[in-house]
Amino acid sequence: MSSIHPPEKTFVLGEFATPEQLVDAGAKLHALALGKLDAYSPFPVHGIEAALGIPKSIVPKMALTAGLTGAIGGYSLIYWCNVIDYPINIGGRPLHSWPTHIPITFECGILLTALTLFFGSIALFRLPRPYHPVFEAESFRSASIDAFWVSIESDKQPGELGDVAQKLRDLGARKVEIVRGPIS
Amino acid sequence: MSANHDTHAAATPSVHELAVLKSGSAMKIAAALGLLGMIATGAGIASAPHETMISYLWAFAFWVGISLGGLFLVMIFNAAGARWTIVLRRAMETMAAPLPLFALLFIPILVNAKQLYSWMTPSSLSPELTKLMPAKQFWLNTNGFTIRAVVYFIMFIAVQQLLYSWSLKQDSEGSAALTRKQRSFSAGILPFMAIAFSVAAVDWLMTLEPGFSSTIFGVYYFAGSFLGAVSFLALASALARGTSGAHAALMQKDHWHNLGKLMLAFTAFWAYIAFSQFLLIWIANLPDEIPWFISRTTGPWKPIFWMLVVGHFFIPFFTLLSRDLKMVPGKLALVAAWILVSGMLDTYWLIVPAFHDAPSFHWTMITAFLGIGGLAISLALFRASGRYGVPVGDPYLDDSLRYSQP
Amino acid sequence: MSTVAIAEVRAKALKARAELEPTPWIAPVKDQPKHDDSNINKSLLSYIWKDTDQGWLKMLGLTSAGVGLLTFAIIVTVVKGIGMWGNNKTVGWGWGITNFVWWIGIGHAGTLISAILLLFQQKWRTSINRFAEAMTLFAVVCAGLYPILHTGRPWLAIYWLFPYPNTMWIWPNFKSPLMWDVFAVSTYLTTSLLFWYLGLIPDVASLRDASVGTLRRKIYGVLALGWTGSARAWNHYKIAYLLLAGIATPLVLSVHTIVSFDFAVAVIPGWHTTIFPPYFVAGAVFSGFAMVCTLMLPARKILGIEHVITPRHIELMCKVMLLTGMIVTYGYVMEHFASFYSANPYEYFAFYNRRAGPMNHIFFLMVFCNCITPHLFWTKWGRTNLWAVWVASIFINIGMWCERFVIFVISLHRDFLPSSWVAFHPTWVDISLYVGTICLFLTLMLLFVRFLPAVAVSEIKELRLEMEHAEHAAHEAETATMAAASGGVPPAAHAAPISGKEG
Repeated sequence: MSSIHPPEKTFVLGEFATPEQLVDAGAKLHALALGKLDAYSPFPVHGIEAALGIPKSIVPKMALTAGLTGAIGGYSLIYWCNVIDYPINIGGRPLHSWPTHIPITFECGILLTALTLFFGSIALFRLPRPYHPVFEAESFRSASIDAFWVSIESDKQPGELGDVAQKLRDLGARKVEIVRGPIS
Repeated sequence: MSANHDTHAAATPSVHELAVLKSGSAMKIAAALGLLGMIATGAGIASAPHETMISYLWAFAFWVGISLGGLFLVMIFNAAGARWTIVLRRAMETMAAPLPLFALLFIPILVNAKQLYSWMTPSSLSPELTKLMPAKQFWLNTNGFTIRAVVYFIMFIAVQQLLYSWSLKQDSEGSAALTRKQRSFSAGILPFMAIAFSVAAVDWLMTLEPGFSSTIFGVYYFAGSFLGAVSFLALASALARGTSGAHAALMQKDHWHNLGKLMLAFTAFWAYIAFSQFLLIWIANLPDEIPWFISRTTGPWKPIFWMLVVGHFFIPFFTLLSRDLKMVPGKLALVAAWILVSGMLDTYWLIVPAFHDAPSFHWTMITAFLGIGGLAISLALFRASGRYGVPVGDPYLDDSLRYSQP
Repeated sequence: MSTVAIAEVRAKALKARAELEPTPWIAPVKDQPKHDDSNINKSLLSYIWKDTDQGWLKMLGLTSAGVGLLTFAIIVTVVKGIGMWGNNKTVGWGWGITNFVWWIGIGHAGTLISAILLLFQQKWRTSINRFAEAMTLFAVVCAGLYPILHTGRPWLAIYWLFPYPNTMWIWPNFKSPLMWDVFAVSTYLTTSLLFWYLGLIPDVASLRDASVGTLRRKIYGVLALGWTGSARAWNHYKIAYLLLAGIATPLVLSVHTIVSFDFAVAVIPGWHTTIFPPYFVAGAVFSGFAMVCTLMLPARKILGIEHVITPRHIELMCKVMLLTGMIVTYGYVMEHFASFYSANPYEYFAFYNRRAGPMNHIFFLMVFCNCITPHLFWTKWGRTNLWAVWVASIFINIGMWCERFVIFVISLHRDFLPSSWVAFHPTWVDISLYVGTICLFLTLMLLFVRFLPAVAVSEIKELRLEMEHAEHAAHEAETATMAAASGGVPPAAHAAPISGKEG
C-alpha cells in the first residue's frame, strides 16, 4: 500500500540570502532537534555537512571497491578466454602474456568505477524523483539560482508548525513556506 | 597572519616568527660522512676501478637526479605561477643548491669513463656492434661525450644560480620585478633544461649498452628522478619540523596533502612510462632492443624487476591513495623514504645489468652513496644556513601560508 | 633579523602582490559592477530563452547538409565496401585512422580541462569545462565512426570487438592493441558522458527553475531528474565529481596511450618507438586545446559570455598549447635522433622518407604548424590578439592532422619491400567522410549551445564566492602586515609559540 500511497510529510522551508547565514541557521536548528533537516543551495556550501550533522559520504569506498572489482574482473575475463576456455597461440606469445592484459584490466577498472560513481551517486541522491514536496513552493525555484534554503521535515499538519516557522524567521529567514506532500 | 581571535589562526605559526636557519649538526655529520665516503671510494678506485666506478655512477645518478628534480620543481612551479608551493620553494632551491658540486663530482666519471662505457674501447665490442659503430660514431665519441657533459653542467649550474640568486634577493627587496623574472625565465628555459636532462640521461646511462636505443629513456629517468625529488622534499620537510627557522613549521595540513598527491601522481607517472617502455619493447621483440630487457627481467635479475613493480609502484600507490595518511607528516615521510629506497633500486637496475649477469654488491656502493650524498647534503645545508627557510619577500607567501583546499 | 625587518619586507611584497595580481576570472560587466548569483545565472543562461537566431539556423542548415553527405558516404562505404576508400594493399590504414586519431585527440582537451585542471585546482577551468566536455563527447562520437566503418560489416563487428565468442567459439584476440582500443574508447565515451551529465545536473535544475513556460520547465525538469540541490545530495555529489575527475585523468592518458600502442607495438619503422605514448598524449592535448580555441573564440562572443571567458583564460590556453607544442616537437626530434643513433637502415630510411620523400610537403607543413606556430604564444600580443590566436589554433588543427598522416601513411607507403611502394590518394568517399564528421561535430555543438548551458553555472557561482572570500582574506592579511610593519609589534596571538620554540 505504501508504495502506491507514500506517506505525506510536511516541510517547513526557510530562505536565506547567503551561505554563511544558512550554515549558521543550520547549526542552530540542528542543536534544537526539531526534525530531520536538509539544506538546498545552488552550489555546495562549505561547512553545511558539519552544521546539519550529515555523515561522511560512502562514495569513495564504493569507488574503490568497484575499481578493484572491475580490474580483477577484466583480468580474469582475459585469462579465462585466452588461457582456459580456448587457448590459442597468437604471434608465439605466451598464452598468459600479462603485459598485454594490463590495458584492458585498467580500462575495466575505470569503467566499473565510473558506472558505480554515476549510478551509485544518483541512487544516493534518491534520483530520479520528479516530484518532491519542496517543489510545491513556487518561491523554492530560487534554491537552484541564488538563494539558500533550509527545511525541517515533520509528520505534523502544516497548521501545527507555526512555532517552527517563527523560529526560522527569528534565525533570519527572509521567506518561510510550509508545504505538504507525499514523499517516497 | 592576522591578529584575530580565531583559535585556528592563533595556532597557525606566522611568517613574522621566522628566524634564519642555523647550520646545525646535521650539516657537520653529512660533511664528515661525505668526506669519509669519498676517501674510501678513492681507495676503491685505486684497488678495484671497474667495480668502484659502477658504484660511483649509480650513486651519482641517484643523487644528481634528486638535485635536478629539485631544480625542475622550482622551475615548474615558477613557470606555472603556483601559489601554494611558495612556502616550500626555498627548500626546493636548497635541493638544487649542490649542483655545482655535482659538476666536480662528475670529473671522476670523465677520467675513468673507459671503465664504464664499452664503446670507448671499440676493441671490446661484439662483432655486431662493431659493424654498427661507424653509424653511431657521430654521437658515441669521447670528445662529444665530454663536451656535452660540460654543456649540461653549465646549463644546470647557470639556471640554478640565477634562480637562487633572484629568490634570495627578493628576501630583502620583496619586489614584483623579481617574481616576474623568476617566472618568465623559468618558463623560457624549461624546454632547454628538459632536453639537456633527457639527453644527459641518454649519454650517462643509456649508452652503457651502446646497442640499445629507446626514445622514452630520458623521460623514464626524469620520471624516477622527479618522483625522488618530491619524496625527498617530503622526507626532508618532515625531518626539519623541529628546526628553528625551517619552512616545515609553516606548512599546513594541505601542504602535506598536496605533497602526498604529487608523490601519488608521479608514482603513477613513473609506472606509466616504465610500463610503456617495457610493453613496447617486449611485444615487438626486436633483436636490437630486447636484450636490454632480457638481461633485466629474466634470470637472476627477475626478482629485482618484480621488486620494482611491487615496491616502486604497487606499495606506494595503494598506500598513498589514503587521504588521511597524506596529511600526517610522519607517515608521509615513511612512504617517501620507501620511494627513495625503491628509487635507489631502480637506478641500480638501470645501470648494473649492463655489467653483471646477476645482482652484485660491492662495498664501494656504500661509500660512494654516502660520499656523494653526504657532500651534497652538507653543501645544500651550508648554502641554506644563515638564510630564511621560506622566501619571506615573495608577494604570494601569505597566499601560500593560508592555503587550504576548497 | 628582527621581526620588524621581516614585516617591512612583507609590506613591500604585498605592494608587489597588488602589482602582480592578474585580472579576476569573472570580469565585471558594464552596468553590473559587482556580480551576484542571480545575475550570473541570468547572464549565462538567458541566451537559451532567446528566440532562435537566423544565423544559427543558417549554420545548422549548412552543417546538416554535411551530415547528409556523411550519411551518403557511410552508405556507399557499407554497400560497396572499403575499396571505396583510398586504402590499398600497402597503405592498409589511410585517412580512416588519421581521422580517428585526430578526433580522439581533439576530445582529450575536454577531459584534460575538466579533470586534470580540477585536480590541480586551476580555477580557470570552471568557465570552459562544460563546453570542452561537450566537445569531447562529440569528437569521440566522430572518432568512433571510422574504426566501426573500417570493419567493413559493422553489424558483425560485435564478436570481433567485444568479448563475445564468434560462431567457432573463438574469443577476440585480447593481445591485440585494437582490442585494447575498443575497451579504451568505449570506456572513454561512457565515462565522458557520465562525467558531463553529472556536472550538468545542477545547471539543468537551474534552467528548470529559471524557465518560463510549462513545456520548457517540463523538459528541463525531466533532464534534471528532480535535483533539489539538497545538502545531503551535494555531500555525495562533491566527492563523486572529484573522484570521476580523478579516474578520468589516468583514463585520458590511457586512451591516447593505447591509441599510440596501435602503432608502436608493430615493427614498422616510424611506428615502433617507445616515446609514442607520452608524445601522443601531448599531441592530443595540443590539438584539443587548439579546437577549444577555434570554437570558443567565436562562441563566447555570440553567446555573450565574455565576462566568464576572459582574455586571461585565452592566454592560459595559449600557454598550454605552447607547452604541449614543445613536447610534440621534442617527440619529433627524439624520433629523428633515434633514426640516426639506432644505426638501423630501415629506421633511418623511414625518417629520411618523411623529410625528403614524395610527400615531404606534408611533413614540412606539419613542422611549420606544430613546431613553429605555437612559438607565437611567447609574445603577449600573440596570446591576447584574438585573431592571431584563432588563426594559430586553426594552423595547429591542420598541423596535428598532418602529424597523424605523416606517421601513419608516410611510414606505410614505403616500408621494407621497395616493390610494394605506392603512392596514396584519398578518394571522394574519404573526403566526404572527413568533411561529414566535421559537420556532424559542428551540428552537435550548435545544438548543444542552443539548448544546454555552455558554462558550468553552479561552479561559476561557487567560484564567485571563493573569489570574494580570497579577496577578503588577502585584505585582512595585508592590514595585519601593514600594522606590524609600522608598529613593529608582532600580533599578540603569536607571541607565545615563538618564544617557546626559539627558547
